[in-house]
Amino acid sequence: MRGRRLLIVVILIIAAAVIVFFRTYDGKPGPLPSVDEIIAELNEYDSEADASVVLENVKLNEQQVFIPFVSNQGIHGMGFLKWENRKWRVARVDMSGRPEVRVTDHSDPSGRYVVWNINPLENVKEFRFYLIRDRNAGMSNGVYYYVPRVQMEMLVNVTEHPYGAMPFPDEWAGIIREDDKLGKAPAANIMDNIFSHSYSQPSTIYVGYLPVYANDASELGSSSKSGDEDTEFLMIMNETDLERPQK
Amino acid sequence: MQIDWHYSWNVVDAAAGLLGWLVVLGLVMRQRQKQETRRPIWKILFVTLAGFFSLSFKIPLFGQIVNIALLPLGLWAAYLFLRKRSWTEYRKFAWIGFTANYLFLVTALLAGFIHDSLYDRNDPSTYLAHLEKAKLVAIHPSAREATFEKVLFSSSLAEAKASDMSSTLDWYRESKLEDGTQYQQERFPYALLEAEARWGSGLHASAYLEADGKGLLLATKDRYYYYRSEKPMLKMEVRE
Repeated sequence: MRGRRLLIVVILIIAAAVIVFFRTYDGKPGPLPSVDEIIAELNEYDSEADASVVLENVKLNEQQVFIPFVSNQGIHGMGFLKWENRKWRVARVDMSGRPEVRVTDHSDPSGRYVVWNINPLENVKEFRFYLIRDRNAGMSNGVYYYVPRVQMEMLVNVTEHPYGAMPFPDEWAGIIREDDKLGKAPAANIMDNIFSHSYSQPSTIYVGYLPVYANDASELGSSSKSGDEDTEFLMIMNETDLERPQK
Repeated sequence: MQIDWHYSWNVVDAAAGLLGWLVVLGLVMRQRQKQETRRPIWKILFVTLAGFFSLSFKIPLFGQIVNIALLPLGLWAAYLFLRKRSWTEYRKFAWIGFTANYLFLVTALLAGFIHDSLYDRNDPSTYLAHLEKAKLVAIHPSAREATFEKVLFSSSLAEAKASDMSSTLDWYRESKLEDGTQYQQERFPYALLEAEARWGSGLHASAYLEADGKGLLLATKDRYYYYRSEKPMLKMEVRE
């Protein structure tokens, strides 16, 4: 009697493990679907996509592909495919084509890409991307602190590259990693913070961009974006947000 | 993750923790020898572990945050569970588990003292001990051309002296004054990345270098340090 009951329990556990394994197992990425299939999948995912031309498949990493496309109305949009649960699936469709950050690895800042797909008719000459951390200074818990300003630039010629994906430069990834190391709370739980004098970084690091237009062009209209868990939004910056030191 | 491990490995804390658990194990084994009825070891260890759980609070003591155990919650749970059956045989083990909290308090304090004597937190070379992979990055447009040379940096780091940081707010204001010479200039426009702290210290600091190449700012989790050296720590481009 006891033996049989034990056997049933063991079988149930194995069955549960197998089910969990197959529901979460992604497997090795297979070949990308054909262009027609991609278009069909994008349109199925978002009925407003109305995709007709795929400009390129940009492989971000083994599991993620960036698909800049043009719709039947000539709108430039961005699609993202992700290999999940043994299948290429559409993770997100963005119809604005405005720059955003695509995260391919949440644990490593170098797994981040700036992606965009701009209609050449918009007359954007250049995107200037910035990694910014505001300067900060003062005294906290009897300790003086000073956080240097970070302002690092990455230029993209939009006339030549109306769409594309650029990985964060190594220097950016290095600075973000450094910032993370200090920003991570040393305290293991909330109770620790009551007495602890540990000092948390009072500045946050962010990425923004500034569009540069051709002389006669009107500015990009406003647009809204909604992201998924792999999207990070970019701040739209003004010239006044930047420091221009006299050398 | 692996890189993380490398620098955050605090050898002293790890050794103290290991020592603590070995002592607990020793006490348990000795108690087991003393008792007449020998219960299975895994049950004994389970009760000891249960006894270890307690309602505790944290206070700062000798520059550390330590855990003071107050109510033996795990011990009570073990008592409720075993009550009539075999509590008398397990009671001592549950108490060993609870006392272990104080044992770990002592080893943690001891580890703190040993750590402080082994690794000097005020010495910049504690944080910047291994420079093989170090890279200098200009983080602000006001940074002039400069190159990092390990030998030059190490020799001037050895001479660098702790310096006054009480004017950080002035540094901040200088860069905001439109008619000042420092307007929109960053005082520390270089970051030194991927320098490693002394092995086993578990310490980490972000390092920034001053515009003239002679100052070093270290940011750690607890506080900031500022050092000045007589000669430049970087090879600076000569201004025409």
